[in-house]
Amino acid sequence: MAEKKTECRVELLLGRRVRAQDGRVIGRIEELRAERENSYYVVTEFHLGPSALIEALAVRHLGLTLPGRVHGYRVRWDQLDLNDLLHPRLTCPVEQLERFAAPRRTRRSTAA
Amino acid sequence: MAEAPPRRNREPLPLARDVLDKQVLDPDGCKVGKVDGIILALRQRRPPRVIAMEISQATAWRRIHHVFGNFADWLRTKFEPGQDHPARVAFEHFVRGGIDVHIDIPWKRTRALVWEDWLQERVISKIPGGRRGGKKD
Repeated sequence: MAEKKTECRVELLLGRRVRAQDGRVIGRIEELRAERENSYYVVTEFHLGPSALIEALAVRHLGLTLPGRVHGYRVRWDQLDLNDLLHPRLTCPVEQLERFAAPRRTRRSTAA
Repeated sequence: MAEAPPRRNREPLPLARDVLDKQVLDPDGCKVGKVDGIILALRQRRPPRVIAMEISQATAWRRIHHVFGNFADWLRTKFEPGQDHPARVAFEHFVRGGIDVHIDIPWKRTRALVWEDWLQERVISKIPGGRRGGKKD
């Protein structure tokens, strides 16, 4: 069955390399965040990079990161152009993206 | 008159972590299958809408290579009884995700288990003692 062009599959979008406006690869799509809007869900954010992969695998790491490297980007839905599903591209400069680190293990307070 | 902004539940749902590849359970706890695919609808100047979960072997094979997916889809359309498109569960029926995905419709309405139904009707029920699906009185 031929699919409409306005449809997109999450499982095929995962792992796609996202390029910046200058053609530089900034990371792979690893996670999509949806929020409930009225009676349905909409995708509001795409998470890119190795930190997003750690998040998607639902594991924690020890907070070890390489200095001077960005480990994840949080991309709003309007910052990503999905017209070409095989080659997603940013619609804004990389500097406007929100960076995030992998979730660190937090110390639990000891019960008395 | 200005259009009212949409009401959003701010608790985000991670689709890759909490929905994709998770076991689908109906309200009675019956296993329906696994979420092999999630369909989004791209809209002009609005965020993509999550429209359905797909439960299909062809969808799962397509994630490895589109040739495998197309072949599995051809097999499905050729041999699957009474079904011309893969089983989709509209995302309006999604209740919660996590370890399992809970939906609010019974498994019969999902049409995900047509092969099991076909086997039950044509094969299992012909075996002595198998008329009630192996259930005892």
